This record gives sequence, C-alpha cells and structure tokens, in this order.
Amino acid sequence: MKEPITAQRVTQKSLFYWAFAGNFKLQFILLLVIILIVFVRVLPLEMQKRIINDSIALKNLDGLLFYGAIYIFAITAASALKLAINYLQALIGERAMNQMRKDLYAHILSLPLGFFRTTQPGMVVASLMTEISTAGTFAGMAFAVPLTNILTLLAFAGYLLWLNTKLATVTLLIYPIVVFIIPMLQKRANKANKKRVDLSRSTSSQIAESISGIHEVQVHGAFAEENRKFSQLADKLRKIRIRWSLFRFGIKTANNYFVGLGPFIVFIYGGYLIMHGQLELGAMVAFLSAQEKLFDPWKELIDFYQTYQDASVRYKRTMGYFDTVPEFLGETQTSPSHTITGAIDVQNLGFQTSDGHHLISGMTFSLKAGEHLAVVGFSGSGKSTLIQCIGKMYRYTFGSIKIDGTELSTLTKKDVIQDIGYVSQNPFIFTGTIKDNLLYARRAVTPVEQERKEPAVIELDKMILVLQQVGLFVDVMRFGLDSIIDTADKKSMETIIRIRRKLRENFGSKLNNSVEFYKLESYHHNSSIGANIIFGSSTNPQFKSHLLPENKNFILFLKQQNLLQPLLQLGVDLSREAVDLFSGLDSVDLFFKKSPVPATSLKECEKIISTLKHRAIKQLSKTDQTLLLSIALNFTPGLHTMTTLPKELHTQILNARKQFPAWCNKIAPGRFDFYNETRYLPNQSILNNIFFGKIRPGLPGAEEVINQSITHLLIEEDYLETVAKIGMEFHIGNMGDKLSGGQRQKLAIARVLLKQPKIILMDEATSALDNKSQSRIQNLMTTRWKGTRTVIAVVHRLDIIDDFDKIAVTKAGKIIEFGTYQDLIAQKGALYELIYGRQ
Amino acid sequence: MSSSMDDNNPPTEMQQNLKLLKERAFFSAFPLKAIKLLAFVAERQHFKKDETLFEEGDDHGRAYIILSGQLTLMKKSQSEPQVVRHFHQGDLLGTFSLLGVMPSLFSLEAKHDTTVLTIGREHFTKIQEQFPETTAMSLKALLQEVYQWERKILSQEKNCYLNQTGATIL
Repeated sequence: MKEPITAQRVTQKSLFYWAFAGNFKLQFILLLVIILIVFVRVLPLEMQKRIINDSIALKNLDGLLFYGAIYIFAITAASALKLAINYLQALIGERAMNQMRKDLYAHILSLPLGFFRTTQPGMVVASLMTEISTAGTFAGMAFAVPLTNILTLLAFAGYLLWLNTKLATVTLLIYPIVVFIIPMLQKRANKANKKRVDLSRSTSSQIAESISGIHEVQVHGAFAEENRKFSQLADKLRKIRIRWSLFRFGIKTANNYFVGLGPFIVFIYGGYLIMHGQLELGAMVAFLSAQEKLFDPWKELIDFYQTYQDASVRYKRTMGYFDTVPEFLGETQTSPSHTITGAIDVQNLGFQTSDGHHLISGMTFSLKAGEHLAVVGFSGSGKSTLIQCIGKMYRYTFGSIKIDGTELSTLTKKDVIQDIGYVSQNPFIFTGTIKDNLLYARRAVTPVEQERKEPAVIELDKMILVLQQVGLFVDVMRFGLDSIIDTADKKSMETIIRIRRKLRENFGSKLNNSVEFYKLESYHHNSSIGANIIFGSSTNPQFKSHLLPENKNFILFLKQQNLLQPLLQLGVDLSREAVDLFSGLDSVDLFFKKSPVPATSLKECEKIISTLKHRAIKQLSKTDQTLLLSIALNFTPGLHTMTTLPKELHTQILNARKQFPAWCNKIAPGRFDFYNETRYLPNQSILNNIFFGKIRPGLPGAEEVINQSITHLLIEEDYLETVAKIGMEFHIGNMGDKLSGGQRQKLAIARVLLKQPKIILMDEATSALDNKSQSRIQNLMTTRWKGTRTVIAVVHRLDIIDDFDKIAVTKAGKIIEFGTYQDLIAQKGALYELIYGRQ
Repeated sequence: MSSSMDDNNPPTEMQQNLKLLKERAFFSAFPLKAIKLLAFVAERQHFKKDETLFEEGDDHGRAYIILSGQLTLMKKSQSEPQVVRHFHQGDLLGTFSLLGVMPSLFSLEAKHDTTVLTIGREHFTKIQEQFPETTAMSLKALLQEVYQWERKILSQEKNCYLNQTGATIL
C-alpha cells in the first residue's frame, strides 16, 4: 500500500469513495463528455423539426441537405461519445476495483491471527475475486450513469417544454404515474418471489428426506403418503410461480403500455393543437421521437438503481466481514539498529480470546540469553499460545513479556521480526522452488525496493550448510539427481559419463538388484513403451517423444510392425481404467503420478470411451487416435499398475526396437541418438544417466546405499555442489505438496536458520521427523545454539527434553512446574508423572 | 473393472491389490471407488532380511499387508532388544498410523526377505478428502479393532495384566 494508514480503515470507506479516489481527472473528463453527449442527443430533435417545417414544407433542398448533415453528424457524434463514456466508465471501474482489491488484500493480510481462526480461505478468495467485482463495476458507473441519464431526461424535457409547454406538460405527466405504479407491482413481485424461494427450499428438503429414507418408504409401502406430502408442496409451488410470473409480466406490460401511451397523447392532443394552429407539424414529429427516446435513459436509471442496491449490499457485507482493526500494519521501526541478546522475562502473562476464553493465565518465568526451554504438557494447555505471544503473533492481554528488558508490546512487529524465528508444527510451504522457500524469511525482512535493486545474494555454501544441518541435503541431492540438465552443458555430461564408468567399476554387480540397466536385448519395465521402441532420444525437435504420436512416418512404422492396432487398443484400455478411477474426483496430483493418462486428458478420454460404445476405434477422429496412441506410448509397466503389458506386445515391441534404427536411417537419418553406454542420454535425469538405467521402485532400503555410493563419486568429480544447486531449483509443487511432512518441517527449520535469529521458537517443529533427523536437530541445538540463541520449544517427545536447560510443564493455561530436568524429576511431580506415568 | 485384456491375461497388480484390500475389515466398508483408488496408489515394497521398515519414534505413517515373508515387531529401547510379535503373510498392520501423526512405540524389521503392499498416509488422506464418508468408517473400524483387541486380552485365561487393560473406556 502506498498511502500511509489514515484513521479510516479501507473497510470503512463508502462505495462512492472508490469511484472518485484517484479518479478525479477521469471523472472530470467524463463529465465533459457527458455534457457533450446530452447536447448532441437533443440536436437531432431540433433538426427533425426544422427538416419538416423549414425544408420539406417549404421545398427547400439546400436546407434539407444542411439539416440532414447536422442530423447525421449529431447521431454519429452521439455514438462515438457513448463509446467514450463506456470506455471511461470501464476504465474507472477497473481502476477502482483494482485499488479496492489491493487495499483490501493488504488489509486482510495484516488482520490479527485470531481473525483467521474463523475465516475460511475460500471466503477471502470469493470476497476478493467475486464479491468485490460488482462493487467495482458499480464504482465505474456510480457517477456517469445517473448523470448522463438525468441530464438527458432534463434536456429532453426542457427542449419539449420550450417547444410547446402545454403538450410537454401533458406528455410528461405519464412519468409520475409510472413512478408510482411500477414500484408497487415490483413490491408484490418481490413478495411472491420470496415465497417461491422459501417453498422451493421446503420442496427440496422434502425430496431429500424421502430419498434419504427410501428404505423406510419402500419397506412400509408408504408411497401414497410420500406422494401426498410432495404433491401438496408442488401444488403450492405451482400457484405461487404463476402469481410471480403474472407480476413480472405485469411490470413489463405496464411499462410498455405507459410508454406506448405517450405517442397516443401526442397524436390526440398534439393533433388538436395543430388543428388550432398552436403547434407545427415538425414540432409534433420532434415530440414523437423524443417520446421514444425518453424511454432509454428512463430504463437505464431503473437498472442503475437495481445495480446500486445489489452492489451496496454486497459491498457492505464484504467490507463488514473484514472490518477488524489490523494489528501490525504501518508500524515503523522504533529502534532501527538494535541488537538483542535474547534474554526473556515473562511475568504474569495472560491471553484472553475475543470471546472471553483464557487460553493462558498467570505464566511467569525468565530465561537468560542463550538458554533453552522445553515446554511440555497436554494439548490445549496453552503451550502454543505462549510461544505465539512471545513471537508477537498474538497480542497478550495481561502481564508482560520483556526481551532484553524491553516490553514486547512496545516494540513493533518490524523491530522483532529480524530477531525472532518461529517454526510451527505444520509449517506452510509456498509454491515455488526449495530455494524460494529457503530464502522466504530472509526476503521478507529485506525492503521491497532494496530487494528489487539488489536481490539478496546468499552464498551457496551457506545454504548447503543449513540444508545439511537440518538433514535436508540428501533430499535436495535427490531432487538434483532427478533433474534433467541442458544438453548445451557439455562439461556436465562428460563428468556424468565419467561417474557412470566409475560406478560400474566400483559397484557394478552390487547394483544389479536395485537398478534396471538399459539392455538392448531386454524389455525395460521402468521405461515407457515409446522409450522401449526407440531406445534412444531424438536430436530433432520434430521427433520429440511427445510429438511422435502425431508423426505420420512414425505411425507408418508402427503399422509395419503390426503395433498400431494393439497400441490403440491398449490406449483404450488405459483410458477406460483411468476414467473408471478418476472421473468425478478433483485432479489430485498424487493420484496422477501413477497414471499414464494425464489429468488434463481425462475429459477427452471420457468422451472417447462413450463414443466407442457405438463406434470402432478405426472410426475415431484423428485427434482421438493420437491421444490414445500417446497414452499407450506413455505406458510404463513398472509404474502404471492399472494394467499389465500383454505378452505378445512385449515381444513385438522388442522386435520393433531392432528394426527402428534401420527404419530411421532410411526415413530420417541422424534424427535419433540410440542408447549407448559411452554416451550421454539427453532428456533423461542425471541419476538415470549415472546408472545408465533406472532405479527399480519399491526398494526403500536400497536408496541409502545408492545415495552413499553416488555422493562419494560426486565429491570425487567435484560435482556435488552443482547437483545441490540444481536440486535447490526443484519445484516443490502446489504449496509444497511434493514434499513429505518431514521434508516440510526440515525446510521450515532451515528457513529460520538462514535468518539467524537470536530467539528461536519451535512449536512441535520436529514432530514429523524420523529418529535420525530428530537427533540431528537435537545435536544442532545443543552444540551450536546453546549459549548463543535462546530457544523455546514446545516438545511432544519426552525422551529428548533432558538436553534443555529448563523445562516448563503447562496445564490448563498455567505453568505448574518450572526448573531443570534433574530437579523436576527428583521432585517427582507433574513432569515425572508425564514421563513415567502415575505411580 | 473393465478391459478386454482381462480374459487372456493374469490379474493386474491393481486388481490383486483390490482383492487384498477388500478382504480387510478396515477397508471393506469403503465405497468401491475409494478402495479402487487405494488399490491403485498402493505400492509394493521389498525388504531384505534384517532390513528395518521403521524405527522406534519414527512417524512412519504407513499400513502394510504382508505378501510374502515375515516381519518382526521389536522393542529396542529396553535394556536389550525384545521381540514383541511376528507378522506373517496376509497380516495387515499399521492402519492406525494412517489416521494421524503417531511416533511409533516399536520398530519393525524384516525377518526374512519380505514383500509388502503398503499405503502411505498422504495417499490415504487424499482419499479421505475425496470420500469424506471414509473418515467415519475408519473411526468405526478403529473402535472395532480396539474393542476386539481388548476383548481378546480379557478372554485370555491368564489375566495377569488386568490392571493395565481398559483401553476401550479411555
């Protein structure tokens, strides 16, 4: 947000504020355009009159042409100006909506955490994306529409009064009547509509009830009873719907009738006036067309009123929902360059929720800088709330928290952000790469302008160190090894081939069980059918594997090998299985990992399957056949367990593989590189290249052996850091869903470590880690952080707390025991009971 | 299930998995589509003799059905490692760990070369999200398990640990 925070919150601003804030210039231009348009709208009326009176009646051809020219100019200008108004209106609307969205978003982000306990993310999304758009559209028209139409109406009325006061007064009289009758009808229609909605709802729930209880209905044969209940409601509904329709059409008819009445009055009364020489014929024509034209602004005004009602209701509801005082926004740093030591003193601390619950009360303890405190106790005993208060995530309501002697509540969020690190039990991981997430906390404390100028450069070494400290390095290496390197990177390729050779020499036979090597004579179960046929990779972009199903020559080759039909059939079978499994579900990435049919093709597959009910595969369209073929070529028996590879096909594919190079030389020489142990396999992962094969799935035990042997060789070749760097660029999926729970926690700890805060708050931050990783973190805490960083950790595992300097046991929002591990155990109180059970 | 290939070919891995899961009380009440998805996402894993599946304290989050071989549940944090019990071909274990975070109180090792069919918590959770009714069914199955387990203990002749029973009234 650019503007400084003023006393008025974004949520308290009126709907009209957005129409004008920052749009004054545009609104002024709009005003000018509107005045012009009103003028050019009235002009044709006067021209009509003059054409009839001065030109036609007097047979003046020059006059006719002159007035005609003005007439055509006026209507052209009116259209152009109308376009300009619409454009300006849209411009203002979009600008208003954009500003509203940005301001509201910034406001929402800064709301107290307590607010989000009861707010669903979906609600915020809907508010920002849907609800507000009506308000935005309205903001665009808020000024233009009423002004244009009222001015037009006034101008027409004024012109008519000027032409002939008597006739104008009589014709304009219709409007007050319409103003009275239409709202009355509308009110009745609304009432009927409300009844209709209520009745529809009752009918729906009646249907739902009968269908849910269908067992009971059928076993008792209560058909007549259920039918009676339903008929009653259905009949009522019919009656009210008829009534509602009647009013709706009534409004339309009344409106049309009164507007139709206009010309009648003009003819009758105008005719009378002409006969008595009080009105000219041209003036009457002008009256007639004004009559017709009055209808449009009138209708637009009524529409505007409805939009206003709708927009203001939605706007008020949306803004009202978020109308809470933000906690931290706009605070400036009070002490710009302070360094803290991390001593914490908590006195009589209490936290009360807005609905009056005391989550913690009367907590008192103090920690010297660099001391480690473990907080234990049952869930709901206030452990998390305590550290969230210290982390300034919630504002404590009683007592005091002093950091280095300064009251925390007097410090702003910006003061403490650099010094306090927080890791939660379910850390949030953002969509992006490992590196993005690693640098998240660092970037957050760097001002945006500075970040843009000189993005935080953090040495690779430092990141690698942190990853090693938390035990994520192996995973990152694995991500790196699973990546594909650019074929331009010749040096890397050479290194990898050297590693491949060394691996074979040193570990060769040992890997036989865990790796499926590429062998020309045998089928490769962990590769796709396409890869098994080609057994190489294309050097030409036109022959890339995903394009092959469309390639006429390749299809011809499959035909020659008698593979086309069986593969299409396989494609059908796989599609059928995928549709059977996934139709009607959300496209969950995790499911589609093992499916040869990608989530994006599921809809097409559904169509194909239903077409095949009355057609043969051969009769399918070309696009459909291509899709089926690509699914079949993608099928990897080792991974896609939904079907098995038919034996005949197996042999045929191996035959095709043998024929493929010869065919290639004939049709497209040099377009493919065939697998060769001494050459790099482009488009395959580093790991596959190192092995010249793929790891067999389902061997969790083998991974460690493999990792160790490879790491050793990578270090020898000085290639480890490069792989780590590639691994850090690994895209961890939507909100990190490609990472396991343990990996997420490690990443979150690494993220905080990189920031190097003086105070580290951990809320069961290692709960998803396995034993080894847990002890690694434990080790890190005792050897590196003791005495240098203050740690407060909510701990779920009681077997690791003896390394902490102090233990606090919480119960029902209070600290019931506080002291060293030894003292508390000797005391045989609450901690003793937690660890050894009640004696 | 569909497919023209079923007639001439042995059942696919997924079909075998489906059969195995349908036979287990914990999953059998699930909607067919949910079991099919479970059968689809389930993995086969192979362990060599003496290999460890998980250690004490690990939140392994996996259920296993033993397809061949034998697994041994161990308590190692005692002064000397103790065998708690053996699991054999066809046994299902670890379903509780699918339902939420739970550091294991035991460790699990392969006594012989062993192949298991296994489902991970992340997959199970995704299926629960897609079929919300399975949550209540899992809870029902869980209560049933605990009840049966305690009933079995109580019905044993030697009631030497009677003072440590009572899980069903927790």
